[in-house]
Amino acid sequence: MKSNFILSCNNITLNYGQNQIFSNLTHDFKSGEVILLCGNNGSGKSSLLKIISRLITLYDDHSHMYLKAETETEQQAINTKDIFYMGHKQPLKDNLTIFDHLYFHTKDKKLIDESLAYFNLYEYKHTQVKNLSAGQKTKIILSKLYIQRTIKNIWLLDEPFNTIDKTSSDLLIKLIKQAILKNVLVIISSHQIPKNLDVSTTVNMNDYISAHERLEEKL
Amino acid sequence: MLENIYNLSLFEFKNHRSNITSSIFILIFYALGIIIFSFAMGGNVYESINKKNDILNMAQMNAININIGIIWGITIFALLFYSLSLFKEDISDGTLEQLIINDMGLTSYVVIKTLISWAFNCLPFIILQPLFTTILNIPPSYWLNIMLSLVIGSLALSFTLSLCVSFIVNHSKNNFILSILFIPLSIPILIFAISSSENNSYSLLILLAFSIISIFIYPIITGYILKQLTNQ
Amino acid sequence: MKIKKIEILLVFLLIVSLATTFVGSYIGLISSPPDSKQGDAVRIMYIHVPTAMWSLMAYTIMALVSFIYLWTHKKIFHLIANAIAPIGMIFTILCLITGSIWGKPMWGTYWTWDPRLTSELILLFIYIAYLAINIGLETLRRKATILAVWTVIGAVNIPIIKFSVTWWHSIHQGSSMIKKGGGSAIDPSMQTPLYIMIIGITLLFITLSLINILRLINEEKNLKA
Repeated sequence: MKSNFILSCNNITLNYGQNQIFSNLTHDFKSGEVILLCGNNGSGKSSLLKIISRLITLYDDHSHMYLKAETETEQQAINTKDIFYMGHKQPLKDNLTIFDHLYFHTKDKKLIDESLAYFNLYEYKHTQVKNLSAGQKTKIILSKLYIQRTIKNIWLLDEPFNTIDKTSSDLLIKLIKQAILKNVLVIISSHQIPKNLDVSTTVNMNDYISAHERLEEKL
Repeated sequence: MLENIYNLSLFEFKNHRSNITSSIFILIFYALGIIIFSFAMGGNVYESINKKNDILNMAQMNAININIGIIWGITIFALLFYSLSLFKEDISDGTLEQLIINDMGLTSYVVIKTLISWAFNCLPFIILQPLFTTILNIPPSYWLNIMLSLVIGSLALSFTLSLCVSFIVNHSKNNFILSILFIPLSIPILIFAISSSENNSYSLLILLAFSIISIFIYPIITGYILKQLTNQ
Repeated sequence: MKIKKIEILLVFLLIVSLATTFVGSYIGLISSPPDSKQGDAVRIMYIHVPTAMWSLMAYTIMALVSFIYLWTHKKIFHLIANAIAPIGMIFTILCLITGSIWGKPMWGTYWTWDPRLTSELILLFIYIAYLAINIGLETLRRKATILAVWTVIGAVNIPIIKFSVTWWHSIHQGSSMIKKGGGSAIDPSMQTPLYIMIIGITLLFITLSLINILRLINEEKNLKA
């Protein structure tokens, strides 16, 4: 889907065991927007990203999540192949090199070099992951995003700015700015967000904490 | 689809190759087990088998059967050893999540993962089997059948174990439950595996049937279970 | 406290099933004649046959219910399977124990790796594994799915137990209750207690399962409240 689309969430309720995390979240996410999810710890920011990427399946009948084109009303299920998901966990193997990890995603060696050069990782191309710092590990994931930036049109980034330095976060913001021009939907969950990132919409997850929990908070 | 499978196999191959020490550990463990048992059996078996007449008497047959049982016992331990952590790393570092999102097909993932880890951990000691059977004084006429039944049987057991591991991964007390899960699924395979090692071609065919069934059905179930894993 | 209708029904069922079982045991163990070949050892049949029957039936029900659970993801089916499992396991243990007690005088050994005995033992391990998963794993939805999948996989064993006597040369004798071409191979004086025992154990199984299902449903309600 290269044209405009809307990712529409209707009445999404998440229960975690017996606890309700959030309830009745209804929101339309338009393509070409940068959406920031904020909220307290445990308010379900990461969980919402997992629900969108269908890592968490919702079994109750009220929750709906679908894609639709901007002009039409026809609903489509989300194809997870279009999603780039960057979670808390970093899918990196200690004993393999950066090149091994990226070669898994593309056979185009020029593209790999380009992505590594973009995030200033080129000199570590054949270094084992266990010898890298935390920020460099995050940058491997971002290089993967650079490689897949043309084929994925929903980006779900969970705390992408946490470990990386100023230069790298500027590079990431540049990448995001290019992407939203091509109608990519970017959803970021973060506590601290760099000032030079233009956020289109902010969704405060605290608004959707269920009434029961809010009562407890007051008490 | 085919490209995905190729990529995944290559990645898994590289990953196992970089962890080759753990495969060597399994091999050493296996050899050590065989050697300990051959010490315990003592030299009298050796004398009784290597006499000139080709026809084996009852006691010799018994000694061979016991030694075949020993080979299978140690094989089971080796299998349990490496299978315990089969999916653990991929789950804890989020590789599995990425596979689910990219729609790689967890069935093919399970097949690739199980086959490659089998090739790295089991195949070495199956290839070295003539050496081990010599240590255990099993006559060469048995070698072919033992190796064949080990290849087929350990494949079937590997897929069985990957199913059991997918049930209990991410949980405390998991080794205890794994052993209990493994008993009912492995007994039928073991019965036919051991009897086919004792030059029984009829059981070898049944073992082959078990193996084919487990290769085709278990990964589908394992993939289904693993897919639930991210799902609390 | 108000006593519900269902509880009265359960008590009534329990009394009826226990009474039937006692009557059946009395006729079987005391007033029925000994077998011409097996002597008094035949009396174990009156417990062995019904428990063996219900060890299989319980698992069949569990497998069906689990299959429906995988289809619909309705929690009630998970609870039913969960309630039947321990009862099925007890019947399997009883069946194995009575079988070995009978086997010592008849075959000269308590245990042998015969197809029927081996597959019944595997059934016991499947039950044990079910309960081990049930106790050992914490998260609920995944656990229910795993249990259902496990039960469905284990169901392969049921036809193997049932037909092991006819498929392989088993030391275990086949069923004497139904002979080829109609009629029964058992003398009427032994048939009556056997049928009474089967009815009694069936009622006992139904009652125990109902009690267990109700207990689990109540627990579930208390958790939600």
